[in-house]
Amino acid sequence: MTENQKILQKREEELDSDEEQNLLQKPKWVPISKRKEWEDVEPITQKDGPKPPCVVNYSDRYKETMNYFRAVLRSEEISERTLKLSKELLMLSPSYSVAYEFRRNCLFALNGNLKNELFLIEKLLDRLPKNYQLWHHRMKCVEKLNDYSNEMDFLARMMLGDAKNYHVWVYRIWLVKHFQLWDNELEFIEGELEKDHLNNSFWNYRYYVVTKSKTIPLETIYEQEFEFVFGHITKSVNNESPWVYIMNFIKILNKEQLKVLHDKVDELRKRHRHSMWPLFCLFTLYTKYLITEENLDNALTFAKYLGERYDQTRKKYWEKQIKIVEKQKQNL
Amino acid sequence: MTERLLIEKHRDYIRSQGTKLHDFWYATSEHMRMSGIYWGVTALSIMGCRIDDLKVIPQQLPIQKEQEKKNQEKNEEKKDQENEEQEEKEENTKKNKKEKEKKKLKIASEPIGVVDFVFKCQHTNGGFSGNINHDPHLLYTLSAVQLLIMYDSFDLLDKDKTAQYIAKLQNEDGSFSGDKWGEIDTRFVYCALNCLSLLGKLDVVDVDKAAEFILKCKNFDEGFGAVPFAESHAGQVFTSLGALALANKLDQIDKDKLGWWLAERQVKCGGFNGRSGKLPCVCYSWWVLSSLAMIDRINWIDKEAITNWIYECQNEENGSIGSRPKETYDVYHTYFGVAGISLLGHEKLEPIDPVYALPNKDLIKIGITPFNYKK
Repeated sequence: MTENQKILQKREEELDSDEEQNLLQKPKWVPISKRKEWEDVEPITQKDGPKPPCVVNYSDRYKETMNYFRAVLRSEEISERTLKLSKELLMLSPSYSVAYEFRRNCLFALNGNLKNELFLIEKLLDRLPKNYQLWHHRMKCVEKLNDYSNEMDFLARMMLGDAKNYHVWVYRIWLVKHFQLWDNELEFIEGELEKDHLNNSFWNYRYYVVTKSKTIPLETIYEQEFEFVFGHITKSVNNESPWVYIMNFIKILNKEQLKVLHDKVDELRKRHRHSMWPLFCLFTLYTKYLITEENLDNALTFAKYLGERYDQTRKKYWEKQIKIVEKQKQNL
Repeated sequence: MTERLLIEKHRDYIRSQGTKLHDFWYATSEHMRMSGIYWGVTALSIMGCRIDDLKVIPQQLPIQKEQEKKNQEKNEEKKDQENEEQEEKEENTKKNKKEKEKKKLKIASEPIGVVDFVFKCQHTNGGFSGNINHDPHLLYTLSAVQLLIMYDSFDLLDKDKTAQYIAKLQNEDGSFSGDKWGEIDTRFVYCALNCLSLLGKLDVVDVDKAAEFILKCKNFDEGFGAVPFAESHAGQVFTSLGALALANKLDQIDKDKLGWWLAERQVKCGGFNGRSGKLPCVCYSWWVLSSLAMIDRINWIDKEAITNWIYECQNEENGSIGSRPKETYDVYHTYFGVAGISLLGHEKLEPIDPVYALPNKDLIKIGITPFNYKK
């Protein structure tokens, strides 16, 4: 048996392992056709047509589970046994969106234990943390349950696995908006940034929180953010995320605020002569917001430094910018 | 100068993919076989290789358990003996010989042509699934339509039916779900608009509303996420820009700001990442470069550095391209690497359209002007 064949077979064996048995609540897989409670149901086999292009020989377990699932899909039976069947199928095929929808219909109609369902979803997410259907299923269940009390702890566990998992953040964005959970979010994201301020997902989420939680104008938000952001920038001047974050506010700043920002960034430029970010920020300020002849000359110098030394990857970009600024100077 | 793009090796690698038996990646990617075939075929087409004779085995044979196998072998031996006796009486036609060989090789399936496969995945509602007997989905409907165009079989399609399938997936806010049960994502807006534009049926959906939804997903850095407020991600930027291009709304973008964000994806080794602080991957060669092409700023990146990096990701022994040098070789990354090199203007490669993700020659065939020609 090749390595890959071993991996495929191991998956089947996992489903019979102790852990899965607890979840499946069965000692070992018993063919559905041999279970008394399914006697009355005629399974529907897959229709491959008269001349099938390939006679696929799925495992007996998958084949039989699908055969019975097709039957209950057609009869639209909502019952305890079809609920159990959907779970068996999803353990074998965790991306099957039809089965999730069917399962939700059963759960909701039968007043199934949605809290247990969340436990099951998390078990599957542990193995498949980027499975779209699982995250969507959880969202729908939590929405129906109308209880978010477990979700923050759940997300904290998922973040331990991968703090940049895109699905974690999409889910959190939805959760916080749906249940209006803004109050603790600023404290939460500040804590996360203290642990790792290089994580761009954290900065993106912070922007969401500070701009959505209350109806505070952007100018005021900027004042609050200024100290916080530069606190982090000072610790790590080459960190892209806080620079992009704070530069986003430039367009709404008044003259005084622009001056304060300029002085702060210039100070960093002198202290960190090899870093591209203070130069990039000043370039933006000089060419768009603090336009004077002297500033445009400085901008040209910075652009040359960036293209030739501190941001050589974007050499072509800086060559283009130099041409634009030279023209800008002429038109002054 | 020696040619560094290993066209023949990649060709051989891709061509061998369709009929692989007992391959782990092939088995676990069964649900997205349609897209897998699209990646392979498009890469071959860009490299100027023939595609008309490609065969695929849609679904993987399982590993048979030992005892079952032995029993089956015993039974087949018996059957063979009986059949042999019978055949001695009957005329030994070529067909019988072939069948005998098949039994001996224990292959239960025969590879089929790509167009055959595509139509076997079509559903009565007009949608296409990722593989035979799977459920229809927007992602695979797009791949199916793209394949039919590349195989000159576009006229065999009931375009109205497929357009209706897509139209039903639009939500009130303009977004699209991937299937009737599914989640919302800017990817699906792109799939819908791309497919409908190819079909010539954009009028069956509210294009303006779709563009409105995309613009809601624009972030403070001018990038796009999967849903409103989600982190800017190069893959989502590609789908969002593509959708806006198809909706004729690219003027809503600050191209300088987004161009800079996209150029920022290039890291020191020359490759592109998808978000700030993450590792580069060959697939971003497509998503970043096509996005830059759509906003006419492809010259803002270091072309030599990315080209060299993609070449380093090649498997020089067996063909194919990996996600990073010496990592995860598969047809997905092979396609994105080759497509990226094509966008950079490699003289041996066919040009590929950054919006439709189809070779220009195929767009021209169906009367659509490639994006780059419009300027």
